[in-house]
Amino acid sequence: MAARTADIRGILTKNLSVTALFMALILGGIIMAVCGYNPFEAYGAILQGAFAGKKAICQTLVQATPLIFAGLAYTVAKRANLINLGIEGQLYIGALGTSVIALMPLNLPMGIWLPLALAAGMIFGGLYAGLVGFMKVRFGSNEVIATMMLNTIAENFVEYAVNYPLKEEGKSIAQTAKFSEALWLPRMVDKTQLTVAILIAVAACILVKLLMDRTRIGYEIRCVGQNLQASETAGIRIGRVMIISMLISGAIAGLLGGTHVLGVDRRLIAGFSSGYGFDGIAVAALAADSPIAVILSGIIFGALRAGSMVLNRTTGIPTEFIDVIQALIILLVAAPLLVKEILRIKNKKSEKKGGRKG
Amino acid sequence: MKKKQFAALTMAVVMACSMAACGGAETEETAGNGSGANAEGEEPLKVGLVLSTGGLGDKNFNDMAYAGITRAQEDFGIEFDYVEPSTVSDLLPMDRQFAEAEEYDLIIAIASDQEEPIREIAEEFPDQKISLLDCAAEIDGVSTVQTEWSEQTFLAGVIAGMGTLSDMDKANSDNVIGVILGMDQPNLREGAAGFAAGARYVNPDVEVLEGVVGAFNDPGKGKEMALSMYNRGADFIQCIAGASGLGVFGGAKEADRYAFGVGTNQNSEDPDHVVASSVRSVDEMVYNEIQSVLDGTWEPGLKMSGMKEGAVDCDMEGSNVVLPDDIQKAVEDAREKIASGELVPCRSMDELDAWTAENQYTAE
Repeated sequence: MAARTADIRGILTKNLSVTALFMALILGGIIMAVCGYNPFEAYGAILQGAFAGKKAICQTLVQATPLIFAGLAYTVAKRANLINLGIEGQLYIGALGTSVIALMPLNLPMGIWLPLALAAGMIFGGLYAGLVGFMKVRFGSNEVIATMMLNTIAENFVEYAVNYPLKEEGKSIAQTAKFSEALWLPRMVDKTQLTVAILIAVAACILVKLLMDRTRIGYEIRCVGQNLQASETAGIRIGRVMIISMLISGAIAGLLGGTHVLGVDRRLIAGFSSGYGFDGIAVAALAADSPIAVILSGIIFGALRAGSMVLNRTTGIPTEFIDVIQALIILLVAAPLLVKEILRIKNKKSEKKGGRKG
Repeated sequence: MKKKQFAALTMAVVMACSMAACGGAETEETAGNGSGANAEGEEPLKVGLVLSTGGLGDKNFNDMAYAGITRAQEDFGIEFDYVEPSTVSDLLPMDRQFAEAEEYDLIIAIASDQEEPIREIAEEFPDQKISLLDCAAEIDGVSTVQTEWSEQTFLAGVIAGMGTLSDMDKANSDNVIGVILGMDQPNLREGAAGFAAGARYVNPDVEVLEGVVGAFNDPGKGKEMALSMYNRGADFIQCIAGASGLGVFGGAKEADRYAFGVGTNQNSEDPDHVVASSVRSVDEMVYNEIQSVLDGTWEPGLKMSGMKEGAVDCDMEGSNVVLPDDIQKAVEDAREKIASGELVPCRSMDELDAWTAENQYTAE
């Protein structure tokens, strides 16, 4: 009996992410119960909204798409030991870049115009993040603070853009006109918001994985992330590597913004992001900074978000509990010692019980 | 290690799915209990409410809508479900969710952000009754309700126009008042025109200062703008500026002058300086739509809702400021005349001079 619990404990401590996810779900349930809601009812509604039927699964994937992009963007920077808290700002600037190209009366064929618009978003987002990398390397500024501050600037600038220069004529809402149909990302399932954006997101994860494992710059990014001094001694140009990893991270965030405006809203609207940039941190944390695991982790969080819509409608349980669970996951992943301690306590108790029985 | 993690995550999903089985059963059971408790012969009306982004707890728009639907629940015994979208991109799937459920007699959507999602849903589900509140769009099969912004602020204008000439203790000798907007938007401009018209109605020579904050969430700038107006001789300021308006109240306190709230009753924010609030009762609009469905009088089309329908008013409850009798009388008089349609407030600053020439208050 004791040996078996020890086995389980071993598995759980090795797979911190899974443990953290389960603990977060259980703790979240306890918090719900304390607040007077039925956690079984809540999780039932979430699962129903996330997986019951074609529409629900589509909605899960729709919600997962921006989260996968955001988690991936965070992961790339994290690999070089950089904390990119500016994904939110970069995705807005990326969306702006995509929208500027999309609103130009170019009338190109879809096959050229759409990739061009997305590329513009990637360049905008990449440069916006690259700026932070440059400031860090050149002036030694802290990237955490710089990215955070640039978020505010980006959000306000986009708000200005959709209120004045890019605003749709004659409307009182802060948004651009609808893009030309050639720019709409093709929908994969009719009457849902599921577009090929999810495929782009998955492809981006695979590409980043290949980049990290198979290329020189990928190797250098990993080296810089693991040991700065050693990398320097080995002759790696650290500054260049840091700037490049920020450029890639920002470009992915820009792609998030671009695919969102072309796929979901089909126009640029002020405040379209519900904080995807920050949700990306939780996604990356659960994926333990692995680009491939980001896909699964993004889908799990997407399921929670999709489920929360049904939760909200059918049970009246506040959707804020989803944020609670998300925060708990970050806390538990970020505090591996805490998790191990909790497991150890459990184990001690069961050992005692086992001892008495024996 | 990586592979193991991946495998473990997959396992997590599988286990989570297996939890669905017991969880699902639970939901059905509770749902069954819920309808059983309400079965008094007739099926209660079921309403779905899609709030605007910002969600509950905004002490304004969304909270008012929620208050309206809970009041309808108490009075008519209806059932309702509601959702709080976290971003505009969620509006379409949420509206669709309600329509697809096919169990709601009425879907109420709040704010003009939802114009396009509702347009799409209305086309797809032509038999679904949908009310879109606070939106001026005309959509086939949808009842849209827009409030009269000029009627909303008119009575505050009357108070300001007379108050600035009166001997109220925080009024000065200059014949100047002000109005501060959050953004330069058509609806808000109409509100500013209504306020100016109200003032000119009782005081044709009054100067009305106008300012635009440029944001609905910048109380700091709202305060600076209010202080500069007070310095230029204004003694009453109407704000139509969301949270930036809270800064206007701060300015009123610092300058020891008067201000008017907007939207919901904001008098308690500073009862000594906030004279009244130009309220727009989203709750009333929600309530009326539900009632019209129950009466069988619900019909699609664009409706303007104003003082007559009780959608807008000037609310003095909760303010410590005591208005002189003549002002109170003028306000009562204007309220009655607007409700009866005898007096139609001016809707645009461009027409204000012509409007003032034709509409003047005469104390009886």
